[in-house]
Amino acid sequence: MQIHTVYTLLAVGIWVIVGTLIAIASRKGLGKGLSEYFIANRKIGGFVSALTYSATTYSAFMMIGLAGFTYKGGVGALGFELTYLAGLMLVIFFGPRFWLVGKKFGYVTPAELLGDRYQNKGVAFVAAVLCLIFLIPYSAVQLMGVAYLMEILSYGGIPFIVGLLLATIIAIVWAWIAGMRSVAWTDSLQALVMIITAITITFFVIYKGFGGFGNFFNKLELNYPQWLTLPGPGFFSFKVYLGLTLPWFFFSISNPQVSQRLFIPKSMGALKRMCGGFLIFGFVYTVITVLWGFSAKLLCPNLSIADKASPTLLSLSFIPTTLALIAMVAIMAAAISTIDSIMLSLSSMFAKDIYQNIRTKASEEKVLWMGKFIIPVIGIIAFLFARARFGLISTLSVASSTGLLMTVPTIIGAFFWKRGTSAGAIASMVVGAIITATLYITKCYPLGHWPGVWGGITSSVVFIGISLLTRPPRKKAEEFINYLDKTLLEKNAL
Amino acid sequence: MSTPTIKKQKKKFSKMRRGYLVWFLILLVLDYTIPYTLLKNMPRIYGSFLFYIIWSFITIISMFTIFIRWRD
Repeated sequence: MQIHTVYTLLAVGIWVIVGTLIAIASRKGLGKGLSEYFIANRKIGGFVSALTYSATTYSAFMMIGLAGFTYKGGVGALGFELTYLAGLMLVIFFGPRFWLVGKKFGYVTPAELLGDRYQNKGVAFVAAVLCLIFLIPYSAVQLMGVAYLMEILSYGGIPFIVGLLLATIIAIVWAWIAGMRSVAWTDSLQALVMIITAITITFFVIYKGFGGFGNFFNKLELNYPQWLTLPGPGFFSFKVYLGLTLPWFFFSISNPQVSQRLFIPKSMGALKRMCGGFLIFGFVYTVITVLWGFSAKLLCPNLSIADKASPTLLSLSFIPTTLALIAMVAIMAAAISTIDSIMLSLSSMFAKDIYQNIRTKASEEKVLWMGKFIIPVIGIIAFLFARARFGLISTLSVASSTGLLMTVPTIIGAFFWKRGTSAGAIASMVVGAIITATLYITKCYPLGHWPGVWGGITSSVVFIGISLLTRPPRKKAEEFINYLDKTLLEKNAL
Repeated sequence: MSTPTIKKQKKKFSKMRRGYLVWFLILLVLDYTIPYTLLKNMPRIYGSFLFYIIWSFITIISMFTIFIRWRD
């Protein structure tokens, strides 16, 4: 089947126009100020919060990367992704805490929260710089995924560079138009496109390609029995499984584009609906994507590169062109909804935690201007990274969650340990990140364990050790944690 | 709420939090061990595949029992 360039551009064009109209509509009632632009003044309802949380969390990695993991390693991919979903148990404990202190102290970024709690702007600065270092390459890889997909499905009709430029412009525009409002609204559209398309096309392939679930599972057991066990064909050894799941388990509190969303619900009820909605979305999307990966294994068995499983499956002759195009748009939607959220989150951190900490007398208007200015700058840097296709980009991208894992001891300490200090926080983030990046770049895995394991242990030990040797901000710690203890009781949250 | 009631409530919450943490820890240990041991030689759809589905279902329901109680 040949998917014509014109049809590909038409499908993308319709999606871009609808998304842009939604982004423009979201400007209605947009107020002034940092809180309004970056976290929608904490006034997002539960349903939209759930959809933007889902669309931001699930990127193009799902239909490309997770399908590839399933193709290559079998059922371990399901375990890996469901363990990641189970990481929401952290939000069950941290979500109300983030939301309550965000509202009480007026925090806009997660790094700002850390800086205030430890009474040291250096903590916010280091956390923001870490996020910039690890998340820009991650965004670049997402952009590359979109560009490759368009190139493959248009049979070269849309060159890589054109797809890359298109994806970058869409992400910048949708993030810039109304900040969190336009991102949340367009995310909602994209989350619905992602889940409905994934369900439709997977069911279509299973019924059209295999005659139903019974035959599908029988063929799987008959042809690839090893793919239904662990370590399976060998990819998911226990050490790999642990190394992959550990950083991703903490994703919900370590990645700012996700943890910043804990500030946006308009009430505890909305936060509750956000968690419930995301759990249902995540469970369905994960199971469907793994079934999609297994379908690719059965229908396109001899691919040398597992990540090509999805595009190859979409190119099979029995899949109608229209359905393949919609699936392509859904994968693009997954990528763009993650990239624009990262851009917005990073720009807020640059403005609040880097620029405002250097220019302490800058007005709120000036800081907001800087935040808006930096959105396209981040987009252009990600574009240039993606265009250069450095080998280091994929290393840093894979390392992104592991690198951000180094902020976890500091975050846990902020909410639960009055003895934590800014020196401990800064040292643990810096030492952990250096160890992680070094192990990834040199491909050195001591005792066979992945860098996340070593980085996590080191940053925890450093945080506790240095905190015990230095003086904590007692007054702020008491105010912060005692306020939470009192208010959590009122909200009936654990 | 009077001070003794608050203290009582605090104690209850602290106990519940610990209980849930232990329960989630047990679930995570099962996630990392069962597929690599008991189900290692069961290449069937009702092996690790079904285990992960049931395991995540139990985990999700456990989370629901916590946040369903949150109030404005």
